[in-house]
Parts: sequence; C-alpha cells; structure tokens
Amino acid sequence: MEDTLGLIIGIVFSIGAVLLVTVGPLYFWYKVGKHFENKHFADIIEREKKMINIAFTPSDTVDPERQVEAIGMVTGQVVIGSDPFKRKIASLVNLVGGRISVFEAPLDRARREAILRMKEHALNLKADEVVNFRMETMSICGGKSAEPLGIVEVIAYGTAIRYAKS
Amino acid sequence: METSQITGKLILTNIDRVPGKEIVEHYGLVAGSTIRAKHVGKDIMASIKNFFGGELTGYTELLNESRVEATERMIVQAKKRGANAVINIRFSTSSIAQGAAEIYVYGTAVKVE
Repeated sequence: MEDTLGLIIGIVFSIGAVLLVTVGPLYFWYKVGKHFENKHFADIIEREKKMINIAFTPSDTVDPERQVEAIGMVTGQVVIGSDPFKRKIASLVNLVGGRISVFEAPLDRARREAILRMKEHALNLKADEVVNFRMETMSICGGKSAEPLGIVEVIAYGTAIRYAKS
Repeated sequence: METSQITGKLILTNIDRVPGKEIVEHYGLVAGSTIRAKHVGKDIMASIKNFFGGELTGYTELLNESRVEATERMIVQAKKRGANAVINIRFSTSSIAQGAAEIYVYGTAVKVE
C-alpha cells in the first residue's frame, strides 16, 4: 500500500518538475510579453485618438477645390520583436500548420506604430492630410532558422499635403 | 515643407504628379540603394531586447539611416540630371544578411513648373 502511494507521489512530483522546467519559463515569458504588449497598445490607442484629425488615404486624389501650398514625403518606421513564448508557440504551430495567431499582435503593433510615426512626421510639417499612403513590411533577420525570430519591420510612407489657408 | 528644404527645394512625392504644378520635362528613373548593418553591440542589444518583445530601437535606427541614405543618393542623381522634383517614389526592402538592411528607393525625376 505504501509502495503504491510512494510511486504515485513520485510520479506526481516528477511530472510537476517537468512542467516547472518546460511550462514555467514559457508562462513567465508569456506574462512579461503580455505586460509590455498591453503597455504599448495602451500608448498606441492614446496617440491614435490624438491624431485622428490627420487623414491618410491610399488613393492619390488631392482636393481639387483647394490650393496646394506644399507637398513632401513623410515616413514612419518601426522594428518590433516578439518574446520567447510567441516564438516557441509559433515553432510548435509550424509543425502542424495553421493560423499562427501569436504573431498577429506584433504585426498589428508594428503597423499601427509605423502609421502613428508617419502621422507625427506629417504633423511636424504642418500637413493637412497624407495621400498615396503605402506600407512595406520586411524582415532584417531572415527567418530561416528552426525557431522563427518574429521580428517585424514596417515602413509606412506617403505624401503629406498642406493646403493654402483661404 | 521641411522635406523640400532639406533637399534644396527638390520636391519629393509618391504621387504620379505634383499637385498645383505641371510637369514640363522627364528625366527618367532615378534610384538609390544602400545596405547597412549595425555594430555587434547593437545586435546583441537587439537580441536581448527581443526577449521582452518590445521595439528594437537599434534596428529602427538602422532602418531610418538606410532610408535617409538611399533617398539622398537618389536626390543626388536627380539633381545631376537637372530635375527639381522626384515623383512616384517607391521604397523596396529586402534582407541580404542577418542584421543588415537593404533599402532601394526609386522614382521618376522630372522638371515641374
């Protein structure tokens, strides 16, 4: 009787130890990553509200009714990394295939941040709107290794237009 | 605007015309490209920062520098041909080596009035 009890306790402890070594760090990185991500998203939402007045559009039409005073290129770029939890999950999902939802948040973050920086640039130039908005996504560190690096780089650019005050 | 002041009154735009002005002459395609890398320290810093899933400031800087340099090269070419505007500007990026960024900027040099 005591033998089986000891065996069960042993099994439970060994499973616990294995879980602590494998899942423990993952959970830690998940928490750490989530913390920074939430902070960044809060910041993004805050700034997006502030800069809602600057319109940006992928079309290249300029208001024909108003006179254009000045034009210029504006750009915004950002490089966002991902935490080890995301990379681990992504490499696991890669085995079975399917939607890698963990990488959607970094992409979203990077795109919105790049757009915000472009808008800030436009604001510095006292522009009224940004037309012909384009976005380019790439990766500096090629993800050919077994574990994806999950580094997203985005350049957002467009032409800032300032209309003459009538 | 500031951009045109920096570049010596050269108008840069990614629309296919210059609003309010007329294109009088075409000078063809102008392009600038650059491949840049950061020193090892910045690479190490970036890989450490990548543990927290935040912005990799070193690489953002790298991207910024590459873009500025590529654009400058394009501007030099455009000025040599006597253009006062570059229209239809596009950015194209690719990765060649780890930790290096290649940016290719191209556009059409024109004269506007």
